[in-house]
Amino acid sequence: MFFLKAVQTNIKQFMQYRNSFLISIAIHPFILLVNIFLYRSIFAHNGTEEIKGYTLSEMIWYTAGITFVWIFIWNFAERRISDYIVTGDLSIHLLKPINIFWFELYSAVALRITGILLEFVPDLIIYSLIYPPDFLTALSLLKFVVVCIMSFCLFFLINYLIGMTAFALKSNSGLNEFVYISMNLLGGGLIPLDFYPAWLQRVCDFLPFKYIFYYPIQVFLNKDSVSSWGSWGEIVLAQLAWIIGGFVLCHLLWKVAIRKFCAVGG
Amino acid sequence: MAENDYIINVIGLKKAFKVSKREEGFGAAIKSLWSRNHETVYGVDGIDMKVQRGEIRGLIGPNGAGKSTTIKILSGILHPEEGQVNVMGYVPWKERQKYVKKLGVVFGQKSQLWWDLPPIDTYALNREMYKVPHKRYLELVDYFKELLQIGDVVHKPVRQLSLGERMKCEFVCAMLHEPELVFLDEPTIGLDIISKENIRKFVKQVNQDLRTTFILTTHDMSDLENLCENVTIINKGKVVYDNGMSRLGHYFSKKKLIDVQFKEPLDRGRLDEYTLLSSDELTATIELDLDEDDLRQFVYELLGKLPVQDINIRNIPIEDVIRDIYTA
Repeated sequence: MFFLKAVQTNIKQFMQYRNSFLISIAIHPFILLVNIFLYRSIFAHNGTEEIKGYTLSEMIWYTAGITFVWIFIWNFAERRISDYIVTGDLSIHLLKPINIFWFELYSAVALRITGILLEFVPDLIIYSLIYPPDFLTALSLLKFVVVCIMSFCLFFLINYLIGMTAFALKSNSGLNEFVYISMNLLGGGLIPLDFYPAWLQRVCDFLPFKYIFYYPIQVFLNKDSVSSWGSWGEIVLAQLAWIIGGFVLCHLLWKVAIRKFCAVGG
Repeated sequence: MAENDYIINVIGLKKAFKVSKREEGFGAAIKSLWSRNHETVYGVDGIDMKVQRGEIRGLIGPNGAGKSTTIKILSGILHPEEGQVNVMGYVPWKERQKYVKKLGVVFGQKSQLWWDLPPIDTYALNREMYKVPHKRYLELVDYFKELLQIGDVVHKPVRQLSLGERMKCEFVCAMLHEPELVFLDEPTIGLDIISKENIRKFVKQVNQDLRTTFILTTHDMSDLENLCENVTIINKGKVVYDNGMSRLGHYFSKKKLIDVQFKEPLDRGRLDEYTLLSSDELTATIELDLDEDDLRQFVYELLGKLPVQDINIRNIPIEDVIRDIYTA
């Protein structure tokens, strides 16, 4: 099957760079340690058990959750697509009997499988040894994995759309930066959205970003607000709606853009 | 000959590009942020072309002549503004995914192989992509390995291969799904003379064995002389020559070049009456127009007037013919 072969070939390719995966295993625990020291001090200074509904353990694991979500979703489709367009290498891909969208998705899937095996699994074990997660159950972990897969799709689509702007912009690194920062700030990729004023939380409601970080991390922390099947299902459905919207948009824009593509060079 | 005997049939093809013009200097760079002047240029301006099944056709032209654009339209990458294109029964850009299944492409300046992996991994992926039956795939890999002598090479990571080895592997990559039509875009660029010959032999052999049609773009005249019977020359977006290679050789049949070597150093003035292409004290190359002079008479007189040691009469080389067509 082409999907399996494509994933397999990509994994082989990414394994050439296994050192960078191994380095991240060495680095991630330090990030956790910094956050442990930071939030211990904050909680001790305030002499409180909870801040905005987060216990010390939840706060520390929120930051770990950010790392985990990144491991599940990270891909560089935006750079790959814009490089194809700007260098004209898109031509080579157009000469193959494949849909480039799916081909890139397979590559991203392969990259994440490599990441999950070489980063997520060891990270989770090491983190648990450093600061045991009292909230985690096998079921909540499974639910987390499912919403993370949806986050991955959503993030892939956002990246793909950014990549496609190269058809019009040629250089889209500024836009890319802007979307990344917005995603981190307004999606809960830095601190929980609960810390924001009500009006800013309202803004986040209209954006897809919180379905990438905030809700998956809520599921990971097994928070009461998302622990029922119903509320979990709602999150998955909302993610699905954004994914379908993004998918349709991608395909419509691709159809328009590819007619204008002028295959520079060579 | 019936129309459907042609594997490629192109009529009145046109493709326009928008070119943004900008004045020199920093001020103009700032100004271009809000106002840009666009100009529409026809990169391909009414091309007609027919290619028969099983042919090895040369497609040449100076840089920027529109040949790459033509190839890109024929391979389904670009959408033209005007004209009819029929390749193997398809309109290339309309049914791209189906069409490219029957197409192979080799770029001399771009790689289709996965850089960090051995070529054999790319082949295996392509086998799935093109749905080549497993048995046939193994047969073909063996056939190509034998033909190109790359038994070991296909198991080494691409980044460790020499350019010659890589190009051989690129060819296999483009041929594994047994395409009826293959575009070769400067396939011998940067190769040494032996690698070039190997590649040419390979193309010839495959053309015979599998009846594959090749379209070859190149700047290397010996590629054309070795491989192509017919050549199409494009200049400024138009076809300026579309006929046999041999006819191209006789393009200047009314002109001859005469290389002369002298016994002793010669005074310049004694050569004044001839059309000289080059000369020094001991040698000269003289161009002769047969409309004006008779060859026999000319040589006879030359031998009489000058201390000739050796003489060689030849046709205008094909490079000069092509230069003449390009600059016309």
